Amino acid sequence: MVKNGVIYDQLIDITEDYLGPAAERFIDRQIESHLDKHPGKLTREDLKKLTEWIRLSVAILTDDEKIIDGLTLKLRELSVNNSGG
Amino acid sequence: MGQKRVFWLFVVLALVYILLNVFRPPEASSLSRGQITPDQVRLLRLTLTIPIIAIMFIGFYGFSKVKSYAEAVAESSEGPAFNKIAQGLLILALWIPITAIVRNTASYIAYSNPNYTEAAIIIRNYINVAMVLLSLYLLYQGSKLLIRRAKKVSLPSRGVFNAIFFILSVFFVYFTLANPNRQFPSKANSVAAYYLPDWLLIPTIIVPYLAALYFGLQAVQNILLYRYKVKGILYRQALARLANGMGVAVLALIAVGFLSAFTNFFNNVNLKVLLLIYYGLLIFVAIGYVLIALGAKKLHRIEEA
Repeated sequence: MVKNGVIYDQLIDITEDYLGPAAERFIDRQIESHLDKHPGKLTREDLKKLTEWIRLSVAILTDDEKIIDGLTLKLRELSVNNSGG
Repeated sequence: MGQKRVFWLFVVLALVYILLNVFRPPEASSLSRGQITPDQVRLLRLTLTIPIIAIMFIGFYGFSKVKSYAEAVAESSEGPAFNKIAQGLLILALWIPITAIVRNTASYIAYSNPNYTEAAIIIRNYINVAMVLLSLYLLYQGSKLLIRRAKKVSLPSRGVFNAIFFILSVFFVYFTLANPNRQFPSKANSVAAYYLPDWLLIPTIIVPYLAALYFGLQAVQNILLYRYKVKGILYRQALARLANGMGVAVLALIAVGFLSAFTNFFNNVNLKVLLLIYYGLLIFVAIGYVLIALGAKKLHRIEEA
């Protein structure tokens, strides 16, 4: 399946600022293991739950709260902007 | 070669190195130069064996961490780059025990059978230059693959690196060719440095060593540039240790190579000082490998999160 969703691409763009070349692999793992779906099937409804999982995973990688909060804030903004409400 | 096999190769090399140090009789030059007894020479050797073996296994540890990371990202575009870097680090880690064994064997041959001294020294020098050249070439290749992935970079530091390369090259060529002990033994030193005429020394030792110097400096430059230019705050933090470690290990390796070119200068220096410089540089190689291992472990953690 091709991973060409707009939301998916925006998610990678944001995460790349923190995880660089590892971002796509990281996001794919989060989607597959926590949402139990293929990355290509990511929908805007998944973003809220995924954001919390990403926050937890990044907290394992760093103690720097600025980094954790910065990434979470950007992901929440993405979630709100794509909520369609 | 799998990591387990590489580990057992290191164990075998460590055992060979210990046995050589225990059974090899002390050379007359060591005794007269350092004014120490044969028993003291053996004791000194055994004392120095332990740190060398520790450095060997630190080298293996650094390699194994980078190799594990390279395997974790094998499918990605960085995979081939880190695989090449792991290969270069393996050769560099193997260089420590192999050159130590070859150096001890050459000294033993020179002592016990003077007719074979020339051949032993020539083989020792060629093994040394071949391993340094291959290791730094692989690191350069890996770093080149990485830098291609980074954003288009302007390279203001190229001029600085070229200047460093030029200055070090001039020093290396000058000190190698100014060494009166390079082809024949002298009164001060019973063993010549190379046993090669200049027409053979230049293309087969000096030129390959300058190429290794070029690859080493380029590899350090590329990995540091990649570390500054690649996206990702956390990725860059992890890569910083690996890049700095590679820089320290490569520069220490280059310095060890320079040490042999400056043998003429060191003839007037106490044996203890000479050993101190040599082992000090090996400790820098080990520090480099520790940083490499820590960086690779941090990068690997990103792949496991």
